[in-house]
Amino acid sequence: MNKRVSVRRYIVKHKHLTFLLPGFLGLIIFYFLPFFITLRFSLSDTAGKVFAGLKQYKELINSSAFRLAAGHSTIMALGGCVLLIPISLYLAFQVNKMERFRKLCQSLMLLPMVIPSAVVVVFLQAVLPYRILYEKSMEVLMAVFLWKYIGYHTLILSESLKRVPAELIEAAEVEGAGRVRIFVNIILPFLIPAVVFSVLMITANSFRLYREAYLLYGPHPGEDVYMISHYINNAVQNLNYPKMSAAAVLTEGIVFASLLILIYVEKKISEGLEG
Amino acid sequence: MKKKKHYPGLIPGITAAAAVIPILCILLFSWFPEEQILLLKEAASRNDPAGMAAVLTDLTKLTAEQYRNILIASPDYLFRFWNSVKLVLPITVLQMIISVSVSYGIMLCRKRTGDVLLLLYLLLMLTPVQAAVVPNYFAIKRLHLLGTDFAIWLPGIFSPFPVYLLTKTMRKIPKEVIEAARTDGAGQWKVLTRIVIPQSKGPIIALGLLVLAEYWNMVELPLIMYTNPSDYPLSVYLSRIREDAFGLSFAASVIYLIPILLLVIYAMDDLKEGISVSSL
Repeated sequence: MNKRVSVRRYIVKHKHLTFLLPGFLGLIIFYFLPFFITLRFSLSDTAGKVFAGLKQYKELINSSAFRLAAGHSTIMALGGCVLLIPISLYLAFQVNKMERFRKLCQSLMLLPMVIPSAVVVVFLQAVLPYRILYEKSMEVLMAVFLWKYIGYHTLILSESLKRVPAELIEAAEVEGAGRVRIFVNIILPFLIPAVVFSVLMITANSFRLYREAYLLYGPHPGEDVYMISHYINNAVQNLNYPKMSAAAVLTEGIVFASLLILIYVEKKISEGLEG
Repeated sequence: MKKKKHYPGLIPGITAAAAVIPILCILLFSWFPEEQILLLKEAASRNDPAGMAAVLTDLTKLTAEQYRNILIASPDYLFRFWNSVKLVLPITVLQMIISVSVSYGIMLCRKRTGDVLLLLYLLLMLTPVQAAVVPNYFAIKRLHLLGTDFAIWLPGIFSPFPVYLLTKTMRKIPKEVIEAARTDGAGQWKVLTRIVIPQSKGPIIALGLLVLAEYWNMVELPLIMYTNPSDYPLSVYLSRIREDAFGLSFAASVIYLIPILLLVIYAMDDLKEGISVSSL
């Protein structure tokens, strides 16, 4: 009897957990449990039956195809950050200075984000010469990346620039601080959370470039744009479960580790600034 | 000394123009007949901008031929269009309902538990698409649903993408408002429907749109889940009609593009508000 009362009380007290229930169930069934299957396959030998330790991972790291793919995916993510963030920051400064047409400009810049890859590809194939399309494929993909996301990051950065108190900047100007010093000492600390958020989103979105790459160059593109996603997708098509599992786990591990470090560093920096 | 004149709007204006020009080109090209498109492509591959301009400015050639062909002569295309709608709409609606519910649940949790869950959902949001699709594939395979529409629906509906951004927005609602409602006797359900959802309407609409755009554009999931290429939705199929009928592909693109484009233009203010609120 007593036990039942306490169970009921527990349910009443933790009623908010019912809101979590449907989402958690789905997450467990379609993401977490199968992740363990993925992990198990990644630790088995090529037939997928016998435990083989880190054999798959060793093969991955030694495989030239995987290294090529990992290199390109890294270039896409890092290159995206290096190009998108400074350009968006510059645009954000300019946009905030605008008096007329500011809203229109920002709206137009956001549109490419929702344009489906297939449509982008149809356009590129009509207007780009073969030579550029097929010999400069990395540059083409980077241009698409910039085109798609520049409005999104400009919006985020311009909103966060608006939170810098104008009095602080004016006071510094009165005291004769140069533009560089104002930027580094006053504006940058306010920008850090937005920049970190941008880096996170760029990294995640850089993997979405696979769509344009696949639709333009098919499952086996030349060596220029062969990415992790091609590697995994081709392993799935060949039903090579251990290979695709190890590649997925390794990719996730590397991405998560680097992003967690970034988030940790950001936390430390903002604590240091407040303290 | 002459003061240098500043035009702060110049660079953003050029960027905005560069952002929309491809979209306008696609709209324009869809009114050209097939041979005109082929001429354009030929000029482009000869690296001949003057030739391209000549083709583009020849407005006497404008015709609805592409649309007629795609809408009347190939019923397959429209069939696929509705098939894509059938795949994407349930995912968007149910994913948003579940995500709002989960975000509200996390908001109600104690601060520490909430923070841990939030970090988990941040990592889930940032998972590379192709790496997330592998566990999905194993789950669907175990459930013997490979090749059916459920293979797209289920991973989509339970995708954790919007939860992190939604929770961050919901946490910005002042605690006092919620406390006040609770002391007035409002239950958790009432707080959700009367306070939390109206207060985070912008971000909910913005994320709903982004989810819709993401699945309207899905490539990885159908490539892995459908064993038969004839089941592919428009997002993948469009690149296949191109090969045999390149001239039609612009009208096909426009029909594929217009729904999402109009929705985004219609809800642009909510989208902008949602993006800026949820990112800070």
